[in-house]
Amino acid sequence: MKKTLKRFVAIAVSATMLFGMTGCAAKSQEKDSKDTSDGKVKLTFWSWLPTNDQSDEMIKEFEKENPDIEIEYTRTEQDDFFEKLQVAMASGTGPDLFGMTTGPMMEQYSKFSMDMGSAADQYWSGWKDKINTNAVSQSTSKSGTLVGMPMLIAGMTTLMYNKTLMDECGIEKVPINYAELKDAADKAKAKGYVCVAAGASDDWINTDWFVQTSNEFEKGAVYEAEKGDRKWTDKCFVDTMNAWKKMFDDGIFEDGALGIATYPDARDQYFFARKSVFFMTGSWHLGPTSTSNTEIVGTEIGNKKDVIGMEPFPSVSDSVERLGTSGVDLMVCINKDCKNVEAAMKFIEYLSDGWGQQYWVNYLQGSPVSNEIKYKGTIDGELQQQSIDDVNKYVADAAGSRKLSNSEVEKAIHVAMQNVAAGADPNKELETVQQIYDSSK
Amino acid sequence: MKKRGKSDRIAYLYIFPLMILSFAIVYYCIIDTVFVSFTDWDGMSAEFNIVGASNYVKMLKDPVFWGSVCNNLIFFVGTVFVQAFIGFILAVFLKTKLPGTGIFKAVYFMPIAMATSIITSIFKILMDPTNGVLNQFLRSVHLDMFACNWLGDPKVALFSVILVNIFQWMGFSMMTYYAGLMGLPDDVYEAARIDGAGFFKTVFHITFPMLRGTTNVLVILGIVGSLKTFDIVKLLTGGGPGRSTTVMNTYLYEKAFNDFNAGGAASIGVSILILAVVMSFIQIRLGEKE
Repeated sequence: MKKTLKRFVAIAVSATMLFGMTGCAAKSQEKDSKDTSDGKVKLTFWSWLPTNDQSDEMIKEFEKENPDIEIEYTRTEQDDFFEKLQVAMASGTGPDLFGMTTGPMMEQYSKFSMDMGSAADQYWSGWKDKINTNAVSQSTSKSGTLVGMPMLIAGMTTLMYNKTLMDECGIEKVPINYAELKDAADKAKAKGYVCVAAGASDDWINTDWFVQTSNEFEKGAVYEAEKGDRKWTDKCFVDTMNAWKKMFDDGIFEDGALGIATYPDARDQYFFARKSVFFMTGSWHLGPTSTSNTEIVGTEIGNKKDVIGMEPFPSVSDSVERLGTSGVDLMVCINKDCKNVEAAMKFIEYLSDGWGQQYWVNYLQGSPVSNEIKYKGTIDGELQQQSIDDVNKYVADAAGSRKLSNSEVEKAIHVAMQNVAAGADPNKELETVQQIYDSSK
Repeated sequence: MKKRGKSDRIAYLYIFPLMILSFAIVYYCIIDTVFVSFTDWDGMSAEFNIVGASNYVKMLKDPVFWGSVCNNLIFFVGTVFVQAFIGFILAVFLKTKLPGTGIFKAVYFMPIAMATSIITSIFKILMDPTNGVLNQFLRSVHLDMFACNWLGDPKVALFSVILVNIFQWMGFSMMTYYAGLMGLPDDVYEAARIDGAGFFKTVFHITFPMLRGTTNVLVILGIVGSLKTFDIVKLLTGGGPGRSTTVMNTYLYEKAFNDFNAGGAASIGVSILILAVVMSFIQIRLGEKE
């Protein structure tokens, strides 16, 4: 009897485990059921934007406008987002809508995305007149498909500054060229402050800086090199590398910047902690110029009620012109397996040209992609209006796109920049970039 | 005989679920990785082509791959031996049962129970060259020459990562040695004391040789552990500055998730597996010889 019982238990356990495994598989395949029990269309949406602060209000308002649609939003930090998405897409369990960046990521995900141009033509009349043409062009793949709808535009590189600390250090104006930046660094150092807090361990900010600054030395050269029309070893790129090295040698950036990330390290431990006068970032970070911005509440600069502003990054070439780059900071794609395209398009319209877009723009999350939307938020910072105007002009006058389309070349540039900052020869490092470019073709 | 066969069948029935799970979770993945390493799969699409050994040829010609192998070796030597030595010394001291040894045991072991993300976040703050406690302490005791860019200097960064790894895993070596020490017979120490052996002579001529088995286990685990290294490097330096802390697993990750080159990533994965097997085999043979 005992033996029979043991056998029974063994068989039952084996069977349970096997059924458990198959059960899991069945469950994941059933996940795509879109209609909720109350008859609403349910759309899953994964992205890093909107932030948690923004998403509740934005989604609530959309669901109020569209009571028959329910949005199930999952936010993941941008660094982890793409791993999560890649695994989900590979296993066929991706969301209906997902956030995306332009460049290499967009090219890769284009095969998983619905042609946004066709979907918009069908469900959103007149969209082409409403959305920024340049942003649409940046969201179009090499094969000519509009991969996703652009949502926000961001410009690189900008300098967030602490006016209160500038006054304390005797820095009379925000530097606009390298000589003024060097002078500011000397004055900041004399008072025990870091001049510019930079997260030079991040590949994204380094390559953004390289693309932007190389345009100062020779406008458009970086895009020609990307197409193979010129060499990465050309003088303008060597000059860019040398300018980068000077940032470290002249003490513009903090010591050990190569080991510090922009977010959260450089922002929190230096700029928000009142240890640096400036912070190298992009146009999306205009929020702290408002005294009521939640991001600075409880930080040293918030507690001391410091006056914060933002300006384009100083020109580091001999030219006085500060030449920025701009790019789509976020686009939203529709999964090609999405069954409710009409509902998905309503949400996309809301985010790119409706209440959602206005909310984002008022939040200073980025510049609008909608031609009809302008900043309508409250101006509550001493320098906020000036910062918004200056940065928006900088973004509007941008020399070109912020991102390259080859991830291996972007990585190679980042590695070369770090090696140059640590003392390597710029020419040799750029030769390596060229070799990687050649082998990736 | 019949009875034996019947009991074998029941035994097989018991291990059957585990075999299925092992195959599904471990062996299938290994076989699939080997297969993927011969393809140009991007890690996402349903389509791929068989490309023969080209991923391996590219990998062997890739200086970044060899740099990462070299970093793995430095990491292995720097971590395993130093960690084992510190663990051994701590275990010997803890065995003396001085007052408070229980507390110290818990303190040394605590980092193992902490998530790597927490440890790396703390060390990033401690190792900040300007605001970090480590440099501030060194400057305050006039050891300015040792204050450096712990994570931002390519010449130092790998050693900083090793330091953090030793901090995290030192307690494991200590506890393993401590367990080994508990099993050593007291009469050997008695005889050594009668023969006039001092503390250091006893430790290095009696205790350490008698714990050879424990050391072997720690070295083998260290080989596997150092080849598996990923999280601590990814979270502390991301493989930089430059390529100074790129190890095989961070490079594999970069290939798979940044470059969408799952075939290339799989070839690195297979090479890690081969290295782990070969190094463990060598260590086992050396241990047997001794």
